[in-house]
Amino acid sequence: MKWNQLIIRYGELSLKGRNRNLFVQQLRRNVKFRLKDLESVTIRAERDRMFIHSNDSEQLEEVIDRLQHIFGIQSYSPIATCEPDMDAICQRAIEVVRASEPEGKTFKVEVKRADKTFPHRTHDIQQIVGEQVLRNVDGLTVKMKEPDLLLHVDIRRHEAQLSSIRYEGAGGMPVGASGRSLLMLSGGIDSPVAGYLMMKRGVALEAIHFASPPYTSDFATEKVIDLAEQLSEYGPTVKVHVIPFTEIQKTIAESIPENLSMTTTRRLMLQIADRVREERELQAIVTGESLGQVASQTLESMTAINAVTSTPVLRPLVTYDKIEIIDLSKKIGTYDISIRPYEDCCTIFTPSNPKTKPKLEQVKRFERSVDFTEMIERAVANREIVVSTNRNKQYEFEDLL
Amino acid sequence: MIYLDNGATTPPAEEVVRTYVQVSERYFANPASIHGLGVEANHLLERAREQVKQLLTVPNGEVIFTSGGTEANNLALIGYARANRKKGNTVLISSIEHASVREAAAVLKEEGWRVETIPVDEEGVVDWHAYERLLTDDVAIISVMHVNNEIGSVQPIRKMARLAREKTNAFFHTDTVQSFGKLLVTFDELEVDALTISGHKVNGMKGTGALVMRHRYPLAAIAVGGGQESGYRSGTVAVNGAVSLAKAMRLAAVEREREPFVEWKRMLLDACQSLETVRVLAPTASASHITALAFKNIRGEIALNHLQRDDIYVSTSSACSSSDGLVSHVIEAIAVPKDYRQGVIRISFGTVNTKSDIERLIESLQRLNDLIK
Repeated sequence: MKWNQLIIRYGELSLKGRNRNLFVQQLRRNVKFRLKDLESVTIRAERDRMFIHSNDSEQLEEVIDRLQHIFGIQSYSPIATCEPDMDAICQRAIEVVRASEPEGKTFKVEVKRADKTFPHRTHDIQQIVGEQVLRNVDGLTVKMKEPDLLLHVDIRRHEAQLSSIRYEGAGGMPVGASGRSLLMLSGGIDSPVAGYLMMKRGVALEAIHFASPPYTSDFATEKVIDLAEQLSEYGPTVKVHVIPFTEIQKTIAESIPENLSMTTTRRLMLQIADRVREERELQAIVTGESLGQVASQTLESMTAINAVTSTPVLRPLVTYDKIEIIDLSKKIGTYDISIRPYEDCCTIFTPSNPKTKPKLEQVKRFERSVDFTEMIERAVANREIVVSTNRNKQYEFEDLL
Repeated sequence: MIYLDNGATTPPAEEVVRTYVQVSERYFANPASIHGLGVEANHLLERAREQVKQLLTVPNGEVIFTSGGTEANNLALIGYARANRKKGNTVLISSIEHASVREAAAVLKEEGWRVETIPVDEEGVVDWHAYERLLTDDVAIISVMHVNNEIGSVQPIRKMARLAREKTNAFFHTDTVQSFGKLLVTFDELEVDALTISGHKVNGMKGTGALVMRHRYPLAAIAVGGGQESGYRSGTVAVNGAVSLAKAMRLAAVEREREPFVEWKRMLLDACQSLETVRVLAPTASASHITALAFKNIRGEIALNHLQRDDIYVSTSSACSSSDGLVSHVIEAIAVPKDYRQGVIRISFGTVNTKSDIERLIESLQRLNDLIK
């Protein structure tokens, strides 16, 4: 038997009363975007489920693989359909079970009768279908609790849908359904994980990165673009705003006492980020900060840094342990990129003993001695916007391998 | 020239040599350097690593490029043992392992490990009951070769790995130096934790090989220093070697035994039936590409010399580790009658051979038989 259709069951968004349509449309767009190169695939979204159809079984396999990373999907299954008629259902049921390597497995039929005019009752349908399958397929035994093979029969007005395999989706909300934000992406382990968690809650991202050539190399920037590309696996492509930061960083080093330079640097980064956010009409700023990891991540430090803006600064990792962050980064595929050995601008200008409890007033007093306004303008204006998927990978190794 | 000693080594494929030369010239930089040339070389190295993983069906596995099969086998046994002392105190190997496994086990014995040996039957296949009996809680490492290098016997690796997984917590390693490129060798197929690959046995370059593991298991490095290869093997990584290995593996990988090898083996075994001085060793258990023949009352060297005069190259059974210095541990393990023991030669097919090579081999063997009967 050949599958040619998948059913997608929505996650939490089933709960969202009035906004439901928006969520479904967003999920549909995201699914469509992710599958756009598979020309045989068609998508049909309904209020409570989505269907994907393709007669090309290889492409359908590919769809199954890709769906696992799309937020807003609770689960999905390949389904077979037939007329909502008892004989047809039994015939299809036998085919579906035969296609599921039934030898030696335990089995159960589960029926959902959405069409209440269907002549048989749910319990009777279960009995009849189960009996027919057992009679016609060898090697099966019935088991009610945790069977190896759960044949699901969904009887609707115009057709019956049968499935026996269930893939778990990524859960969460469709990316974009909760608005758009700007992720501060340093190249370390934490910030991409923070981005991932926001995407899981339905937030679409753009990213901002601070480059200080020649103190930072092009590879540090490329690493950030690679991280953005990896994050784009989970939603729409993440654009990266690369900010030329050398001038500001040198000025800070010259005019701010060393033990406060880190606080000022962060304050300036946040101001620049806020400017970009405003220009791009994004709603919040996301950082990978976690409480207590380094000097800038104490509550006192966060207060001093955060004082430059009233924009919400979201810190999804604030309660995470480093080990939890590392585990998650490995799971989402950003770890191996993050550990590449290039210095980013935070590590190079790091003072030897930054204040862990900077006083806001003191910081402001020193900052008053320099006018950063124009430098901020220049940095924002001269930024480079990079879209990872538009890059030409310059490495051509195929003939060697 | 008829080269039938492909179990010893193979000529490198032209494409592999080309890759080796091009990578040596164009990507000579140290892949650990952080400048552009180094980054590029590292990209290439990682692509090679990905390709090896793909070929062996372990997308999340670990590939440690080594100098060859011996080093990979050493690292698997000694490296794993030293890093996992608490897992148990027994190392389990078969009685017909390659010297690089046997000697590694001997090193571990010196370090206080118990080394147990699984006996084999007369065709060189592990004695299943003995294996079951030896699988105790104390076993931390199991290393059993997939295809034996001297007689070609194939071990039921997947079945062994499954039982080991059921009964123990042991690390299961298999030496696939003689099987990769001849049988289907993947992690999906064999279900092991680690396996050893050698480049030069599959028309790759000498000095290339890899230990491939299902996960990033802890191993104590044998070569220590700069921490290359995730700390598993220090020393500047030979990008040319690694890439040429990935290429050789891609060209060599097979889904099942090669049809011509199967046919040639059948021809050879049929012909041997009428040679009264010849016994075929492991006639049913051996893979198609390796055939061990034992001649009555002569030394293997004599058979080798005879064939060489017909421009046919084979080998005698390997290392002299037994008491009389003339019979290998493998031949001893499979109980070959006394008057045949010293007369073993190995014929091993490779991609360079043709059917007419086998026909000429058979003619030469017939002449030898007439000469000594």
